[in-house]
Amino acid sequence: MNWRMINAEWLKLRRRRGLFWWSLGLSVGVVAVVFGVIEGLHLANPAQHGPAGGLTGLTRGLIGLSSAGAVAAILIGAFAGTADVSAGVFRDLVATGRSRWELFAARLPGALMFFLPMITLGYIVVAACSLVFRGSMPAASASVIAQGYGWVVLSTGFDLAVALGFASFTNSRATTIAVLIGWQFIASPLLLQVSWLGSVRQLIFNSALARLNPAPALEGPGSTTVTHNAAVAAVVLVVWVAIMLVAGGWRTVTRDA
Amino acid sequence: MEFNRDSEPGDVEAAIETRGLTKRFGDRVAVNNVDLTVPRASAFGFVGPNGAGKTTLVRTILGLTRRASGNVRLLGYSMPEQHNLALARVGAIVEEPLFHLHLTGRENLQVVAAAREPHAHARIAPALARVGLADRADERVRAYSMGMRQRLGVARCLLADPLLLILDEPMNGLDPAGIEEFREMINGFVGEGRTVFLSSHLLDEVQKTCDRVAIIDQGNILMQGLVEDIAGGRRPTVRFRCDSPDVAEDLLGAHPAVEQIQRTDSAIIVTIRTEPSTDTDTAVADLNRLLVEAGVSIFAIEAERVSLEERFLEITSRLEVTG
Repeated sequence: MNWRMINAEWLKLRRRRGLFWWSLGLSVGVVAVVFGVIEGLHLANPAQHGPAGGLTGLTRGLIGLSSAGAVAAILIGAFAGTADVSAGVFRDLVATGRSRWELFAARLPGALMFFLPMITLGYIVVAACSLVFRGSMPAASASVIAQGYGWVVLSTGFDLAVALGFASFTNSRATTIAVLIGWQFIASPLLLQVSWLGSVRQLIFNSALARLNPAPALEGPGSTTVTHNAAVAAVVLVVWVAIMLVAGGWRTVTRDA
Repeated sequence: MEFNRDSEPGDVEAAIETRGLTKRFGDRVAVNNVDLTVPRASAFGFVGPNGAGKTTLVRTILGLTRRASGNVRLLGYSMPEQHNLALARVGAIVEEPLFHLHLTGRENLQVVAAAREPHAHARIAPALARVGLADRADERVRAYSMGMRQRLGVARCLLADPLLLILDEPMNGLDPAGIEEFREMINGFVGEGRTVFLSSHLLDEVQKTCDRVAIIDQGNILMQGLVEDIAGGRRPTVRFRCDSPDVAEDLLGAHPAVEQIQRTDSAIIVTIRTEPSTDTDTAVADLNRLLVEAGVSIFAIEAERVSLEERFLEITSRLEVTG
């Protein structure tokens, strides 16, 4: 793995102002606003609205962060996967003699370098709000907070990898964003409700991610999932990532530059 | 894998060598069985009309697109098998130089330097200085003029410390001062022992800049060699201006050294026959003597300068007639 190339990928993303602020807003801003609104309602009318924090707040924050973070991950993956080709720079990179697989391989770590600090900051906001605004409710333990962080990173990192592979394959930012957001928030929730699909639904990665979410164990939202086995969930996620990245890499290697 | 700078290109004579190179798009042959030899340390012009196959050939040579058949050697290395070795010392601008517009000039060079060998990063500042962009290097490329982008493209090539520069239409969009500057830059590169492969449809520029040239049309190399040989390949033509054009026309037309004669308002243009036994200077002297002895007053005798452009049009129009 070439560190200089990864750093270059990171540079391309972080210097894109619109992407930076949108991603930061989705990763940090959304959960901060949601916690602020709920706590405001609680302070205005404690009888009607509970405190924003506590275990329930953490669970709610996890789901919110993973959803908004998924959109940010899709945006970043779409940009990272198409940046060189759409700017017309891909041919200049190929003309350096560097292998196309290496050019492709630098994209994911570069995108993660850009995204992980944001999602970490977002999770710090969630965890801090769950502690500060817990009122009389029980606080989440350090173990639960750590599990929640691991899951958010897994969930949004997965979305990022899938988006990057898909974008590299289609070489269309708009298509990638439309298809993956449509899948994430419309198609897959609907398919998961189609009971006659039975265990085939386990192949839907949203179900696998939901299975690994620590929130159901805390009786939070998303506690129902068709995937019952954690190992199956892990395999489904690995296979999806592998398929998307191989497809994206294959297209990068075979396309005319 | 890092590039190995210890394995410098061998002492090969040709910077680019293609044999039977063919590229097809479906049924259409874009590059047809091309044999091209570009000698080291020369400025080599590659000319042809729009759509002739210039850019496709450049892309095929660089391995940016797959060839249908044939062989390519760059700096002695076989493409695409040894592409990492061959391209390590090649800088190329294909079509127009494109960049990440949201990055600065310097950052764009950092992106490409990262894909090259580790020393490339240290060449960024000298490359920017050489193309005159050191003061504007930290501005976003979005704000650059076309000329600045062309120069930044050359700076990007210099990151390779190139033995071979492949420049595809580098003078597009440049003003006359920019073209002159570019010409000097190319001469400088050749002076340093680098090879410049200049693909262009601006024949006058190629004639001024290059010492060798190849002409391509419809995917076929029609001719290649020294510019002066190709430009001078047309039969010598001499323009006579005199006081009695009618008399002169009759006299000159009857002379055995004259192949063709053409009358204009102010002069008579004579094409000299070029059999091995015919010496052009002697023939012109004979014609001059003939006119003077007949009492024709000669105002001027001028050799017609044959440009590469005229020669090119002659060759390509001949192809059209044949085709």
